[in-house]
Amino acid sequence: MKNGHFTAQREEATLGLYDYRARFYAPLLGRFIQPDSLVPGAGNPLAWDRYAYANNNPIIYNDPDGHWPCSFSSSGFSCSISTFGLGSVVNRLGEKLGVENASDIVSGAMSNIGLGLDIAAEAVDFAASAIVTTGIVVGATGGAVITLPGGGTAVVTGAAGASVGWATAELGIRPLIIAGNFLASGATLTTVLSELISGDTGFESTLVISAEGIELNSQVAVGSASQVSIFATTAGWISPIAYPSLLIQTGTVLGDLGVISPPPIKMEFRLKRGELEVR
Amino acid sequence: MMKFTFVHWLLILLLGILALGCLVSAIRLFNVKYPIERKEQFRRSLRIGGLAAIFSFIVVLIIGVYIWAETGVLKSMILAFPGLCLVPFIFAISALGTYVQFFWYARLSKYRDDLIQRQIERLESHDQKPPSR
Repeated sequence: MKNGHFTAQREEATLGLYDYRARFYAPLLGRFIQPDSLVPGAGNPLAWDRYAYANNNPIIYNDPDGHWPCSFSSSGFSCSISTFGLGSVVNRLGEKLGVENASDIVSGAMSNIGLGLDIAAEAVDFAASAIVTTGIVVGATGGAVITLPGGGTAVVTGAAGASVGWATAELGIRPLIIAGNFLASGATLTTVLSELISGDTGFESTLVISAEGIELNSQVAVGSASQVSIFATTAGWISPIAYPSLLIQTGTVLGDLGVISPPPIKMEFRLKRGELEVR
Repeated sequence: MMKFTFVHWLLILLLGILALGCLVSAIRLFNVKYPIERKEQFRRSLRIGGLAAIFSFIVVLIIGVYIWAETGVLKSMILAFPGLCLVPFIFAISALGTYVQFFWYARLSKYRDDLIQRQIERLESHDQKPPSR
């Protein structure tokens, strides 16, 4: 094995190949002999040739780790990263561990545990709403007991009793609300990761630094399940009242089951010379 | 194909107990008597955010055990570890959400106290009213 060959990579002398860490490069062919597990810069058609070295442009670009083409030239520097190939990375890692279709297994495990956590959160929120309903009904009909300054007690009924019953029940169910939020947060983690692996959610970013200034191009995609889950968890943490929490959590479970499926969000950002362009 | 063994169930049980411990600790931090100082509110929010992050970390470990049971390969647990990159976000949203919830519950507590005070005043004024002729 020799060090310091083309772009300072190691050469496997017996194979006649250069070790680019993520995969091997054949100098005679001018191409990698293994497909790239990532597609960095998915918006660029050249990036989809998964055997090509640095977008077939070795004069401008180099590829220090076999994944992310970065360029250093007299005109400047550019580099891009992407999460859209995370599923391929998981598959490659799985192959090294002797596991086939690792991305499907991981994604499936995340979805199942996420659904379990969401159903548990739904049960907790349902219990909280039931307690609040009981507080309102008992306060309105049987009456809510209040402590008088002298030490005695009195009972208020009707609308006032319902209000006191509601507020007391809402304050009493705080442990359930926070428990529901914890469970929903765990579910969000699994849902988002599941979609990051499947590629429905992710981001890609390219940074170019040149004499003209700094240019940043980014793409963000948020899949249906991630949208529902992120919204529900955020709203759940912010809303302390039982009924909205139950409603939001029901929406999340329906999202997990595919009943509620908003269209995926895809956005592009371009920051150049201090001006932001959003598409 | 699922290959859950006694070891998998035991690990999931132990991790589940740890997760429950985080939940109970968070509830204890959250159940305070209002009103509370702004600094105390901030401190408790950060601690609850931290507990949510630990809870998420335990969830990732449970997923790892699930994957291990699915594949039968112990090392495949590491396939769940990319999930750890989302733990800081869980910390941030939980800490912020708890801070907002402290605010709402303080308002709700004040609303209930005012409501009870109004009822007491109404009852007292009714008692002191001279009997009608």
